[in-house]
Amino acid sequence: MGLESEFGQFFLTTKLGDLINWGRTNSLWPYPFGTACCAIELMATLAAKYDLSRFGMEVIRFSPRQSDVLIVAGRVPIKLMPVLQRIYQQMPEPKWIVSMGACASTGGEFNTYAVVQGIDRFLPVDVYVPGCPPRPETLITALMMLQKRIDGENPFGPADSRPPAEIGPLAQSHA
Amino acid sequence: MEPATDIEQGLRRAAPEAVLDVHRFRDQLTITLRREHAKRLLGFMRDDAGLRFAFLSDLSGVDVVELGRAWRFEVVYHLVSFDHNRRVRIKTAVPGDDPWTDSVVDLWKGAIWQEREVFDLLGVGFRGHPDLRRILLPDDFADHPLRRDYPLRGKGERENFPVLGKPRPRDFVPLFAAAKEPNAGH
Repeated sequence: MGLESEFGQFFLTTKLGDLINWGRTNSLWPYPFGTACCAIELMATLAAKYDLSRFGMEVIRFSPRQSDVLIVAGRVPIKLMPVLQRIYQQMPEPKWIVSMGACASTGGEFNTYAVVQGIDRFLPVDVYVPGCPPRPETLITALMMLQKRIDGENPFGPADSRPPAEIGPLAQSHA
Repeated sequence: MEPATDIEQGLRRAAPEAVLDVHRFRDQLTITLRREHAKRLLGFMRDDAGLRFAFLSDLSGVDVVELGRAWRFEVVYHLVSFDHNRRVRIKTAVPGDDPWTDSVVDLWKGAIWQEREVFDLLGVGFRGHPDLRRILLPDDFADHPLRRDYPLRGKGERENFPVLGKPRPRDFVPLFAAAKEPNAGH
């Protein structure tokens, strides 16, 4: 490239969209919406052994206004669904949702009047994490899938132009 | 241990027509009372020197519609006497067509949330309760889901939310174009 050869190693040329995606991918700030045992596994993922900060996510934010990934970990009752939707609306764009565990994704074993049967009925979920609860490795795989997806987005285009998330080894074994 | 017969005798002396049923099972005594007399008799059991059931251990409600009794609901009081070291279970029979009973918040202040819970889940009203609102379910919930005729999967409450979609990313190109144009708003 011309600039690098002219000015040396201190210059790097790239496309603006790639630069934006590089930044977004490697600095995800999760909001932990933990309501059940999945939140314990989420905490284990954040702790020293699994250390989610290796993926640029060490900044867990407890305010939706400072976060861009909503990790819903646990069952969502009907009383909590308006709260969850309000939290999602308060998050700045661009924003993504990870539905962690069987309960958040489908209602799990709680097929009752009080539990929402999957948050994806009312919220746009990007990645689902299977398990009851999922182990930290599964959550890390899901978040890496989300990173791949974000990296493939066109940051200037409409939302529909995003490619589908690449199917990782864990999801493949389910299919 | 012999089930305490003095409790039943004391209640029958205080109000003979109030006792609907007396049940003994494994040394546990359960007495069912008419709702019109229940609060007065519970106060009597709390204050009577021979009984002294001063502590309301638990207050709950049951829908007994499938048991074929003359009443539909039972409000259950578990009383403990620390003075005499014994327990008793008192039930109040509440008919289903006009479900109410008298609040015992005057006698035990701790009953305030438990009566709200029974009201919330079973729809039994408590006369004289200072703040009878729902305590667990959302305020706009229309039903009482612990009733036996309420379906397990609800009546559509869990489907009744707006569907939020993915927000459309901001289009950068018109944003830059708008900056070049003269501002028509001013």
